[in-house]
Amino acid sequence: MQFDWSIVARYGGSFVDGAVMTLVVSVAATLIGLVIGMLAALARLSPWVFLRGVARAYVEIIRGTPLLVQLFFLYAALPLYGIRLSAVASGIVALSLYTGAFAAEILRAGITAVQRGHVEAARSLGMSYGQAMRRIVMPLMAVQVLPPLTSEFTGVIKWSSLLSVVTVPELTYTAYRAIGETYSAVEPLVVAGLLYWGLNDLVVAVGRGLERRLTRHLA
Amino acid sequence: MRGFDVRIVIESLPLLLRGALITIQVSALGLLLAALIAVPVAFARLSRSRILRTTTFLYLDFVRGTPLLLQLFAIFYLPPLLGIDLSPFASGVIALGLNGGAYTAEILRGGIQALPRGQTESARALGMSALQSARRIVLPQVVANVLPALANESAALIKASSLVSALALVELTRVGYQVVSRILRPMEIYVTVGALYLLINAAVSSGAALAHRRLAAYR
Amino acid sequence: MSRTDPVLRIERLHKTFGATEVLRGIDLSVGRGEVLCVIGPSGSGKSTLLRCINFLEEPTSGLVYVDGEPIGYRVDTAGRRVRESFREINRLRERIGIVFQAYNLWPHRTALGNVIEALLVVRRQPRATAEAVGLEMLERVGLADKAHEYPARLSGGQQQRVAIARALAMKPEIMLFDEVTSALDPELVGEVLKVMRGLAADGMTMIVVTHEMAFARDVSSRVVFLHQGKVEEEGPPAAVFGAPRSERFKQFISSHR
Repeated sequence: MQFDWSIVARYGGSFVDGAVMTLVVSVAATLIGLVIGMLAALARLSPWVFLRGVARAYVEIIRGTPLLVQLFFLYAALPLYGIRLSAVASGIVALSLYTGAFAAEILRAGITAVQRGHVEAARSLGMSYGQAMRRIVMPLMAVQVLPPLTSEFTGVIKWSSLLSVVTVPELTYTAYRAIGETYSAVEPLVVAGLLYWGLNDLVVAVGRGLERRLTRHLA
Repeated sequence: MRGFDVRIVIESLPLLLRGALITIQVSALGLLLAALIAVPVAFARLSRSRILRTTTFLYLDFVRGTPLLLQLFAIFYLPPLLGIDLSPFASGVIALGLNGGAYTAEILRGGIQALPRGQTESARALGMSALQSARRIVLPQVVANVLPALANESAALIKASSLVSALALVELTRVGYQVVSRILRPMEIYVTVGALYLLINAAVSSGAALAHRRLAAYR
Repeated sequence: MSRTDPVLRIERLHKTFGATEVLRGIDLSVGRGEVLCVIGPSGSGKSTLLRCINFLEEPTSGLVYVDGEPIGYRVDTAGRRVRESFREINRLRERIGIVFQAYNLWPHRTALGNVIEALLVVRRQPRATAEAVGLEMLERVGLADKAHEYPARLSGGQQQRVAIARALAMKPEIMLFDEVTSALDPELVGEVLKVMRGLAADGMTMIVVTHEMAFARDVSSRVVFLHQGKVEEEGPPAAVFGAPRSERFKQFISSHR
């Protein structure tokens, strides 16, 4: 077997670009997904049956069907309704909705885990629901939701590889293109694999560091 | 804006169901392979041998830290370099098995470590070999305990099987994609595809719930 | 609202949880500076009564008046109860301080941080002012030196005293105490009761749900014995403890020596 490692040099720039795109897409989708997830979590905990039902349906459907199908659906269906998005944009939308459903469950568990007593103390002192939420519930649940959210983020990085199927120029697409152009599979796959692996371990390490910092005086 | 045309659903159902059958086949075999890999890997991860522990750790960290799509490409494009040609179906089964096996191994490992040490000790004290105590005492209890997590993992694997469509395997997602390319009704088709995945997953999770109840004595 | 009006008036209070009626018609009034001790067996509705006063629980029927103003409801022209907005309820809540059995100190804030949180957020005081008030309150409960410690580093008794300081910082007119010593180790109970006696001596209007009979006898101006959601006995401690009338109350005292 011959390995042509000059491929790495030739395609080096493209791989970096691909990795950057992967990161950009993942960060964007995670942030938007967190917002969607928070809204869905609050909706599921709200006193209105309709809101609870809609949120529940969203979570169950998105979590129960493959991301690829959702991606294809958005990519094909949106133009029919007059919404023209670039491949990257529709990819980010699909990824955000997907991760939002998972984030919703994580956040919902986090909110309900904050002891009721803490909220009661806040309300008894005259704080509004919003104030109690922002200053008491969220900081306290941050510690609890950080580990699952970190692994959510590493999941998004891996799921972003699906965007290659709709021609978003992220890391997997770059590898696939390199394979097609050079007829060698080993070098591109090894490079892409190592880059993903490294990114994954980096995020995990940062997440653990954050966790340690946050729990310093919570005992 | 076109309305939802149920006739299209009915007309394309036979084709989609055939795709669903392939999905079920590749998923079932993938799950089987994953189970076969997971058990020895889980125990190896906990073994006294440093080499075993490190190699399994590397396998687990790599497989869980890189995208499944990349692993799928690796399994499809690399073996031909060694003279082995794998069909998309076979590549799919192997990739799903290796990937699912890694996640399942971690689930089992957690369950094994959570089991009270006394269980193994009493088995060995009675003269059972390590293999016998693992098979007859540890594993049944661990599986019964982690069944919900295993069911979750199975559902994830079934959804992940949609990725094998990237290798042109004509499973459910691919069939859906092909039909939509032909008749341009993404709404009806992808909703049906999604519904079929939800159905398959519902069947699996009710099976798991049944097993969970039956195995109540083991927990 | 004259000075002779009761600070708190409870009228025909009923509270039902699901199928169980926990409060079956409570009528009480508390004057300024009074210390009312509420005693009774578990399940008699003592905690529920307290929680209805600051509207943590919504009464099924009946009204609670704070300084003449009903909490949680307005009474419309036809004399019916109309639900108030949360903002109104919060406003009245500022006037009532409550200390819980489980202290409920926020773990991510220091002792001082806990005490001034509401001052910063509800009263919108500048930090310097709030901290001055906060330190004063901590001084009052004897914990000024622990101002910058996190709750995890404080004992149960200390945490409970911080919780009292937190409620006091809002300068409430009434202080409610919900079995605040029941979760404490016996050695730590004393320091909390000492703070409470100090408050009573300073003229704070207090409603104390407690199992500490000695405290009830010594400090309260009035004792109320609750049984199965109703007031069984009521009166000054000397009269109530000295000459108990109902059988149930006699049984209760003897088992709570």
